[in-house]
Amino acid sequence: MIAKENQKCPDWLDAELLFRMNYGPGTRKDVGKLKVAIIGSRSIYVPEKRKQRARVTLLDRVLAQRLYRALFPRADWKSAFATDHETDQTRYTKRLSPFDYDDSDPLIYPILWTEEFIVDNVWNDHYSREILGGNSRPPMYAVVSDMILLLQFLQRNTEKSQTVYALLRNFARSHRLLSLGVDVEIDWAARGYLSDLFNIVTCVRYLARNDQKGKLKQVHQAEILGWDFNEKGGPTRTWAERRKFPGADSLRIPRPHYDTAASMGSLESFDAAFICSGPFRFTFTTLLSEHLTFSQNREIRLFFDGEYSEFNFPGFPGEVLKPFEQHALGRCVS
Amino acid sequence: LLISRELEADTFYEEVRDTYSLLFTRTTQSKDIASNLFRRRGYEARFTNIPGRLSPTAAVRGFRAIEPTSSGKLQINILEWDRRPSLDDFQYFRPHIALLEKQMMDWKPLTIRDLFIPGYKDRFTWYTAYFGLFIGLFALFSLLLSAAQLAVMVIAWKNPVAPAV
Repeated sequence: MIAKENQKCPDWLDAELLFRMNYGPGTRKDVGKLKVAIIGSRSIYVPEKRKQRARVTLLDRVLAQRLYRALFPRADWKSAFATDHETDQTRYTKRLSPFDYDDSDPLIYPILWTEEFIVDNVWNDHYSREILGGNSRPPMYAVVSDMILLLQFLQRNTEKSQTVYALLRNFARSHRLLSLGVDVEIDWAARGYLSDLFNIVTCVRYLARNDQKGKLKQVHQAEILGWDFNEKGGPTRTWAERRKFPGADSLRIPRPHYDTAASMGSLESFDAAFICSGPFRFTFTTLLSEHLTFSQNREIRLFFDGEYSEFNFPGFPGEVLKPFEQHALGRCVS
Repeated sequence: LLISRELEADTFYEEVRDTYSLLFTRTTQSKDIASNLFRRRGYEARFTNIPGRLSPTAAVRGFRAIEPTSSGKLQINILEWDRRPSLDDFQYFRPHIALLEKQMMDWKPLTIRDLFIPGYKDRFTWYTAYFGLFIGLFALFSLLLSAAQLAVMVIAWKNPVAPAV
């Protein structure tokens, strides 16, 4: 690789620094450098920014590859991670350098989310102080190892339906986690930090999509629960205390609170011609959660995001759930 | 075939697919509506009838396929609805559909313009009202016509025209 003349090497691109942040011990100054690295290139939902973001690789390639393989065991990880550890040079003939992420591969998103979650949250003074420690914080290796452990735990616990919170409490009780401090309050860990890890490993953020103008709709963007101000808990239960696993409920697509028992059950009148003969019409939405809901203009929204897909050849009605086919907790056909 | 569905993401696709089938394949007018809707986005809708139940994988993959056509437009497949439509066909979107139906049935005109749009509930009353209105307008028109006729007659009576010799 030939660097352009007078091109300044970014601060984060320092082997010593990256080693410290991945395996410890790092300093506050080190964290500051990584924050600067990802700031401004954050939104992976905007193509230009995604390209920029994919060139910042903070996780150790081996660690990132382990996480990728754990999350998507059926995906082609070899083409996604052609690292400099490999001896097979033919893989480098692709446009992707062995030091970048492939921005056209949506399966890489959880790796980017993980990096951002660790830099923005795990290493933030106001995030789960009682759980992760007041003076020191776990390195990337510890967090990623716990994520992989959590994923394996979820794969084993699919028979009994229980709330995500209850499940994570069992997980914290039954495992020795590298990223947690000593004698931590399990309930708070399950409601906060571990719920945030659950969000990443189940990839619910895939369901946050662009609208037509490229603006990210945050409707389903998983809110971060592990901030210290959430420690005492509020009058309303968090999604982790409401949503159940296994099942689509844990994907957290909102459902209207409507009792279907009162409904007649027959859908004879649920026909486009009949509907369009009255005041309502149809329109498309790029958000799965808006499927079969009303817009403000008396339109019934139908999910279709084919043309806004990350994939080169869009599918119908969209590709937003396609990564789940490869996901360790998604559909498996053998 | 081993299917592990811890997150059941495929359920969403299957139900979205069934929504399109339910809404757009049961009548010719509905198919036209779907064709127009997709044409505006540069797609061509094709309605496919596959008898019997599809395997989940084939159903999802077949439905998702977008194929280029000779016209250069991308073609999408909408599977024909082949059974009696019921809420039981939907698990996840059941409350959405039930609520949507309720909102449709509860719709009431809010503006004068809305008065001319038929609601979804009790259309017989709407048509009866409009029939009554039509009869009323016709009677009013007849009355006006009779009044005009009377006026012309009075004017003619007051201004007699001498017969031509």
